[in-house]
Parts: sequence; structure tokens; C-alpha cells
Amino acid sequence: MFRYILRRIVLTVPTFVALMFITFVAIRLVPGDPVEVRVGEHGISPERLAMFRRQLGLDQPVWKQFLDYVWRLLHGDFGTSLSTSNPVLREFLTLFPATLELSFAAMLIAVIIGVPAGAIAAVKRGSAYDHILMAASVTGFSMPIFWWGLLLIMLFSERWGLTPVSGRIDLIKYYFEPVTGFMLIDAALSDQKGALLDALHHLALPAFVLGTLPLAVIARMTRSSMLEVLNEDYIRAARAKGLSPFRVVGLHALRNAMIPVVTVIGLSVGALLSGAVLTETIFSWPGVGKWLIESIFRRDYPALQGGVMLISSVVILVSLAVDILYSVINPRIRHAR
Amino acid sequence: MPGKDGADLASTTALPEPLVFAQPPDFAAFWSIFRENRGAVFGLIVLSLVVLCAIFASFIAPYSPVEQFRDAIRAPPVWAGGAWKFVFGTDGLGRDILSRLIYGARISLFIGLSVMGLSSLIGVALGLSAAYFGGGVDIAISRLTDVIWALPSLVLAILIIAIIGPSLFNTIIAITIVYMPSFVRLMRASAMAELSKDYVTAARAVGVGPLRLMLSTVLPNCLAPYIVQAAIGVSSAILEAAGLGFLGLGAQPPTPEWGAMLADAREFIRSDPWIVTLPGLAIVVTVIAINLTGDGLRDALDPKMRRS
Amino acid sequence: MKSSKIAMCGFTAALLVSTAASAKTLVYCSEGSPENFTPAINDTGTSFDAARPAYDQLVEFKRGTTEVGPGLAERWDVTDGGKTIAFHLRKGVKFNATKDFVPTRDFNADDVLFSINRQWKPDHPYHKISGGKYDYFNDMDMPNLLDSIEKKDDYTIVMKLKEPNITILADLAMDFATIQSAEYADYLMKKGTPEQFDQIPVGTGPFAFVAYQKDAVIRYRANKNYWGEKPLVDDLVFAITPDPTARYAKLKTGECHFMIAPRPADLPEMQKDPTLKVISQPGLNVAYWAFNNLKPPFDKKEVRQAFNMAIDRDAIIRDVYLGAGTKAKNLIPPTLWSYNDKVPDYPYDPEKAKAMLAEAGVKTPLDIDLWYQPVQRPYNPNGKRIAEMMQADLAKIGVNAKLVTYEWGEYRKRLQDGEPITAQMGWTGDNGDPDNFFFLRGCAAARIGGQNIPKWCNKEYDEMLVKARTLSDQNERAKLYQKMQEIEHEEAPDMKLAHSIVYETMRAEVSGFKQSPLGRHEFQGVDLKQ
Repeated sequence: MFRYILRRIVLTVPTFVALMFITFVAIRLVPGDPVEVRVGEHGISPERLAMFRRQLGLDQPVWKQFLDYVWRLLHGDFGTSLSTSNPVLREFLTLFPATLELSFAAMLIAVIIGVPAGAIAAVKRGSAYDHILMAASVTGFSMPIFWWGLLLIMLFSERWGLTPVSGRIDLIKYYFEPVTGFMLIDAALSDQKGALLDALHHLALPAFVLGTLPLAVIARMTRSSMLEVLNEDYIRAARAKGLSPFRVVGLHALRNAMIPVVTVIGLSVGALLSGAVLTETIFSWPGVGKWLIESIFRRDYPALQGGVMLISSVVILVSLAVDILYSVINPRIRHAR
Repeated sequence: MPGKDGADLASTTALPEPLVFAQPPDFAAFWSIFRENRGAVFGLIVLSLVVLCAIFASFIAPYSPVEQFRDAIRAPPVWAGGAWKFVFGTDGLGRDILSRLIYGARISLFIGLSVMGLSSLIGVALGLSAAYFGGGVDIAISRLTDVIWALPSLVLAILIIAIIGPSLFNTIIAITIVYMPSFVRLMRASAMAELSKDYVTAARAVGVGPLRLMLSTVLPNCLAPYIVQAAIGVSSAILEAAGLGFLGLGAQPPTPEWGAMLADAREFIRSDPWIVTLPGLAIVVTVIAINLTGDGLRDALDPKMRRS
Repeated sequence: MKSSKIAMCGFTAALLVSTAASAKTLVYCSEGSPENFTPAINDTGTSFDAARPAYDQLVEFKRGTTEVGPGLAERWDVTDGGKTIAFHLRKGVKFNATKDFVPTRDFNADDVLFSINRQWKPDHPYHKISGGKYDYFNDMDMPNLLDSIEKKDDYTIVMKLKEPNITILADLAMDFATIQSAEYADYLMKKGTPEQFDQIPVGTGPFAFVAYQKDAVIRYRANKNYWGEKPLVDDLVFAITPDPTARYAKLKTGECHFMIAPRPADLPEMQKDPTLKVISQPGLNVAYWAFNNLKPPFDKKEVRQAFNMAIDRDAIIRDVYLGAGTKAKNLIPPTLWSYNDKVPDYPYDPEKAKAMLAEAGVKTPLDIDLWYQPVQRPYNPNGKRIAEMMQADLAKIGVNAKLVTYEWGEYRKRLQDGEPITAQMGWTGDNGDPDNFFFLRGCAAARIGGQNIPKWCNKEYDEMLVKARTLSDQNERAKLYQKMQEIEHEEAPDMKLAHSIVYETMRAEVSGFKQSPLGRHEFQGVDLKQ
């Protein structure tokens, strides 16, 4: 097992190298000059253009730019954003907590609703509840997230006034210095009355929109793996022994059914971040997804490069962790690969 | 992105336990299983309607999708007090929304099918090569898919569009690249499982050539999960294309692509909500229909995965 | 370490007091994050608006006008035929303190020298900080215009020009000429963190900077000792909300009091809402459709005139601008002095256009490219939709237009290089001087890479343009400009499309806001009625 884990870790190294290469090449292929793009209708003189190129190292041969890039990455330098002149790493770290908070809340909603919903559907197989849940689940993962978000804003925020439209907290009522960057934690630490509740209130709708897709998938996964487990001999035996249905389903079956569900959760990280891009755009949520898209449109090479590197690294590391976790839970997988 | 997750669902459940399929089922057996799943039949009916719309768009649609009725800009649909002349109303340029939705079916299905076709072909080629040759080829292909997999799909698709420029054709290329890894992985995993089986060893022993072995022996036996994956891939591709269209990076005007229609109309979400609502509804209905049909396919082609 | 911690606690405590229930907080829903807080290195209205509360300039546009009045310079003398200007600086003006910097001296001539020299002198210690890109300073041709800037005493600055230029005062009132604190710059340089200078602004403005969180919020508190028009609220908050629909919803629920750039589609509903107030003003801008005068068939005047008659501009203004625009016939908007209202407009007449094309020997169907703007601009709410309407109109005179666009930076570059045969473009005035518009059709700008997109160079027009810069009598200049507008109408280097109308929406309790023709959002003198 130790060897498997080691092997798995070593295997991520070439992935990282390939990632560095691909981000570097891809960004160089993008048309549009990173200096030109910042100029307004006014234009810029050729001499000054050349000067900025030199400053950015854009006049160097491409291979040298690449080596330079790798060298700096290895030293934790992800470059400096062209549009804000801030280090990319710092920008990423100030925005990432917002994305993390949103994604985490979305996943939490998905698991808390999805697992019991799916488990109940499995137990009541064929019932009206089961059919409705499965129909809802198919609808859930057929939903274009941008449209879903707009629709819910239109209904919940504008028509019924139940949730705030955008933002992370009421800016008129509450003010405190960000400590962790996680609004919920900062609000709880701030000892301003109602701040935490208000932050939760702001988080609810975007988290639900982002959580819809994983919710649909998890409910479905739980149901099908639960069905399989319920058919296993040991569950039948437990039932025959006269254990209460709650104990059988709740303790034995659900626990075993959770294994594939955990994998789905781990594998959803990439999908979740993709969804976060659109969710953050729609809700004006100040996270890394929105920042990345804006960097693409601004041709902010360093921000784009650094941002893609950092986000992908998160995804790679999470799937590494999930793989290792999975191999610990389920020894069979190590030999199957 | 919704799509990738849908794909994950299929690949993760299919991966650990390779399927046993001695012979492809015949059509009658297939249909009798498929028919049992009422959702799938419903999906198939809706999907057929959408396909018919796409094929016969020029006969069904009341107007041309690009004709601008300047005297009827943003006409409301019938149920909001509009005239029967424009059943679903008109958009910001006075174009008939019903006609645009009907023609849009053509665009969306075209994108979905092209992406599925291209990425399955690439998936077969790369997946089989990785499984058969192993070693360096396998590592190279696996690393490539890993990297693509690590990038959030929408970010990668946007990056590709930023390089090659927005157009209908480039949307297809970008989404193909994004979805290719799941096909490669699936094909590689099932092919590897097949390769370790006795019949393959036997075929090798009697001197069947590698290409023939892969294509005529191994491939047919890995096909079932692959078809299911492809079916789901169509719906994911449609969603992803709509996402790109929404960000203004998909098909260019005046192409009636659903996501782009939705994005173009976003400013009217308060004043004339139907212009935004209808294209979204068209996407949801089509994607649900495809997913339901895909479920039915899975049931019928893949007895182990049946919803019991 | 310890003392700074205590100082910080005190600072936070002060904030808490000021945000208590009795305090008035004005929330402005802005459209995006600023690039940083030094206007000299920025070129977007978003960044200028975000930094403006913190700063002053030597001379300033009076709030809500393009009229230049005293700022940090109380008065100035122009001598030497317009080549020397002596600025007499205001005394007793304090810089605002921030969390980690407390100024020890008042504003003086050193701050002026610092602010100009940073942009001008390549060997200035701050020249290269934060990218060293001073677009406006260069675009306004300052390096060629300035001869020297000297400090005569602590409160007198003498500026010498190479030649008289009538637009210099208007230039100095622009955001790039903002005065920043030299003492703060030295302090950060010694501390080794000079780049912080552009992230945390220290200025003399009506509001003092408190905090900024990217993509979320900028906080200011009132500078109660401000020398000029006093801020009437205690706190000013920029709630960064890029989506106009979200801004509108926040305005309705009271989460903000003022929003930038309402969507034209939402205006009718906003105007009906008694809790909101909508004001509007013609923008200082123009949208046009440029024809490449160097490429056939647009090298013929008759063809250009024919295309001017082929487009139904009224329909575009009705359906895309949704009424938030007026049809343009001249390059400058009607609100700018020297506007020539006697110039006739081209009528919409597709039949005549068709006939003129045939007369000029143009064979139809003719295939052309129509480039449209990929982004929304103040003068153009939706380039794509306008292009789609033009495409339909052109089809009626036998012209097939292919729609083309590029990413905005690339788009502009290719336009300046004269690549497209026809293209949408536009301009927003910077300082309220007509020269800031007319130079767009001058011969100097018609070079490859220049701002003259039609690449049209007319000797008579150009001579008048250059002459007008040396005249100090506004009436004399206006006469030249009016004549130039007649030439431009006849030659039709482009089709003038529209001047947009700029709307501002706020809650009914907001009072005292003055809309600026330059699109500035300034909040001193703005109050909330409880």
C-alpha cells in the first residue's frame, strides 16, 4: 500500500511539468498583445511599446522565457499581474477563500440533502418519491447553471425578496477587517451582532445554485450504490437476524454505500470550480473563477498563467488525496490498476 | 461544469468493474429492455421531436431565423398578451423566437453530435494505443489526459477559444479537447481489462496481428459502456457549448445558438423575461431528453448497471 | 510592533464609532475593481472613479461641468505669450492619514514636483514602480509640451511650455495629473515597499481611504477638514457589482444608494419607481462607422455618402440605444462649444443610396467586412446588435456585410493599422475641449497606427485644426471648428452614428449629486435625507 501511494505521488510530477508546459505554450498562442490590450482608444507609441515588452521579458527568446517561468515557479513566484501590478500569488490567495467558502457550502448542501434523499429513494424503491427524486436528479444535472442562477435570482431575490442579490455581506450594517478571508469565520470573529447570520444569508443562494449539480449526482449515486449494498448477503443476514431497519440501513448499508459517493465528491472538484466560474460571474462573487475569466479577457498573461497553474494544482492535489484515501478505504483498487 | 460531472458519473461507476459481454445483444432484446424504462421512452419521444425540428427546420419554422421585424421589436408571446403572429414573441432585433429556437435545435444537436463523434474517435485511437502499447505511449497519453482533466473544463474551453477565436466550428474543437480525456480513460481501462482475458491471449497465440486484434476483437467488447458514455457526452457538450455561448465565445451572430440567444437577451431579463427564459428552457428540455434516453441505453446495453 | 498594534486597535475603534447607527453611509454600486489607486498609471473610468475621492489636482473641473477652476492651486498667472504659467498653491491643506502612515507636513510644491516628475523623468525613483506606464501623460503629449517645471518657493510652481498650448489647463485637471504625497512616497521607499504607494492612496481629497477588498468593496471615510466642497456623509462605500441587473436589484432593496450605468432596458421601470430618481445628460462622446478611405470603393466620396444614406439610424437608436442616444451628424456632441447645428444630416434613403452606388460604378452585390466592437462602450451599448441591424439594412442596397470582430485590444490595433474596410468605433472626450475630438480626423493621426481610423487626410481641414491650437480666443477657434464640420460632412469619411445619453440612477433620498459630462462620479456635497 505504501508503494502504491508513493507511486501515485511520483506520478503527479510529470503531470505538473506537462501542466507548466501547456499553460506556458497556450498563453503564448493567444492573439492580442498583453501591452496593447491595456491601452484605451488613445493608442501608444512604438518606442514605449518596445520598452514595456523589455520590462516584461517579452523580447527574450521563447525557450528562455519558459525556463525563466519554471525557475520562478519553483521559487514560489507566480508572476505579477499586469493589470494590478500585484503578485499573482497574493491576488489568488485573497480571492481563493471566497471560492473555497462557496464551493464548500455548495458541497455541504449537496451531501446533506443528497445522501439522505438518495438513501430513502433506495429503500422506497419504485415509490412515487423515488420517481420524483430521480426526475429531479436528471433535471438537476441537465441544468445550464447560468440560466438556473439567473432564474433563481429573478424569483428569490427580485420577486419574493427572500435573499440578497449579490455580495457576501451587508456593507452598510457591518464592517470588519478581513482576518481569514472566509466571510463566515470573519463574521463570527467580529462580534458584531447578526453579522454571521447575514453572511449566511448572502451565501445561501449562490451555494445552492452551485450545489445543484453535485446534489443531483450525489442523490443518484447514493441511491444506486445503496441499492447494490442492500442486495448484499451481509445486509440480508442482518435483516434476517431481526435488526431494526434503521440500524440496517443507517449504519451498515449507508456506510458501505458511501465509498463510491466519496469518490464522486473528490472527482467533482474540477467540475465544481468550472461551475464556480459561472456562479461567481452571475452573483458577483469575488472569487478566483471570475478573476480567471476576467484575466483571459484582459490578456493578463501572468495572472492567467499563475491562476491556471494554481487552480489546476489544487485539482491535482485533491484528486491525489482522494485516490490515496480511496486506496486506504478500499484495498481492491490498488491491484486493479 | 455540468457536463464533466455527468461524464464522471458514468466513468467512475463503469471503471472499477469491467463489463462482461460475450456478444452484443440483438435489437429486439435491446428494445424490450429499453421499453421498460418509462423515463427513457419519454426522453426518446421528446428527443425525436427535437431531432425532427432540427431536420425539418426550414419547413416547420414560420419565419427565417435572421429576419428582423423592425415594427415588432420584443413583441410579447401569446400567453403574455401577444399576437399569434409571433407565438413565442420576438427578440431585441425583432426576430421570431420560435423560428430561432427551431433552427437552434439544429445548431445544438450538430455541436453535440460532432463533439461526440470526434472525441469518441480520438478516444478509441488514444485509449487503445495506450492499453496495447503500454510503457512510454501509455504514460504520455495518460499524462496528457491528466493535465486536461486537472484544468476546470470551462476554463480550458475558454482558453482554447481565446487562442483559436470564437466560432461554431471552434466551439466544437474546444469542447472535443475538453471531453476527450474521459473517452480515452474509459477506452483504456476497458481495453486493458479485455487484454488480460483468455480469449485475447488465445488470439495472440494464434498470431492475430495487433491492429486486427484491437479493432475486431477488443474494441467490440468494450463498446457498450462507451456508447453510454457517448450518449451522455452529447448532452454535456450541448451544455458546455451553451456556457461558451453565454460568455459570448460560441457561435457568432446571427447564428441562432441557444446559449448565445440567452446571453444576448440577458439585459431584458427584467423587462421582457421570456426572451431569456425560452432559450434556457429549450436547453434544459433537450438535455433532459438526451440524458433520459442515455439512461435507457445504459439499462439496455449494460445489464450490470441496471437501475434494478 | 506593539505600538503599531495599539495604533491599529485605535484605528479600528475609530472606525467602529464612525459606523455606528447614527453615521451616514453612502453606498455606490460600481461596475468593477480598480486596477490600483494611482490615476497616472491607469486609463479606465472605473479606476479613476475609485481613486478620485482620495485626491485633488492643481486645477479641477467644477463638479458637474467641464469648466476648469482652482484646485490645489488657488490661482495662476499666464505670461510670456502663454508659454509660462505660475501656479500659486493653497496653504494649510492636509494629507489624509491611513492605517500605517500619518503625514507630518502640509501639502506643498514638493508634492506637485513629485507627481509630475514621476511620470515625466525616466530616472525618477518612482518612474518604474508598478509598471511605469503613463498612458495619459504621453497621450496628452506632455513630454513634447513641457519644457520645465520648477519650484519657486514652497507654494509657487512655475511651469514652462515649449510652445503656447491652449489645452494645457484642461489637461492638468484630468485624473492623470493628480497630486500625491511626496512624503508618503519617501516613507515607503525607505520602508522598502514602494509598490504599496499605488495600492493604498494618500491624498488631500474629500474622503480618506480606509480599506479595499478586490472585487468586493472600497471604503472611504469623510475628510471633515476638506478645503473645498465638504463631504456630507460620514462613510462612502463602493460596492463592486459588475452585473447591471444585480446593481439595479440592490438599488431597489436599499443595499446601495447610487448605481453606475443602468441598462437602457430597465430605464422605463426605474423611471416609474417612486423610490428611485433617474437623471440623464447627453454624453461627451460619439459613435461612428468608419470607412477606409484608402481602399476602393470607399476612396470615392460618392460611395461614402451613399453608405451614409443606407443605414436606418433612427431604428438603431430606438432599438439598441433604446432611446438613450441621439442621432449624430457631427463628430462633436451638441453640448460642446463650436457645435455646428447648420450642418445638414444625411437622410435614410436606401433607393437614393442604391442609385448613387450605381452611378459611382459600384457593382452589386458588393461584399464588404463590417467590424463590430466586441465590448460595450459608453457610446455604444451593443456593437453586435448594431452590426446585425446594419447588416440587414445593407442587404437592401445589395451589399453583403460579413460581421467580424476581435478581442478589444487586438480590434483597436487592427483598426489603427487601417486593416478593416469598414468598422465601428467611437470616442469619449477627456477634457471638454473640441480639439480632443477633432484631432481624430487630422492628418497626423491618419498614419498607420494612428487614431484616424478612416485614414482620411484633408489638407484644408488639417491646417485649420493645427491653427486652432495656437489661438487663445475661443470665438476664433469656434469659427474654424465650425468650418471643419462642414468639410467633414461633405467628405463623409465615416458615418456618424450617435451620441449616447448617459443615465444615472439613485435612490430618492440621495440629494446634491451633479451629473458630470465627463462621466465622473463625485460624492462630496452629496447627502442622504433620512
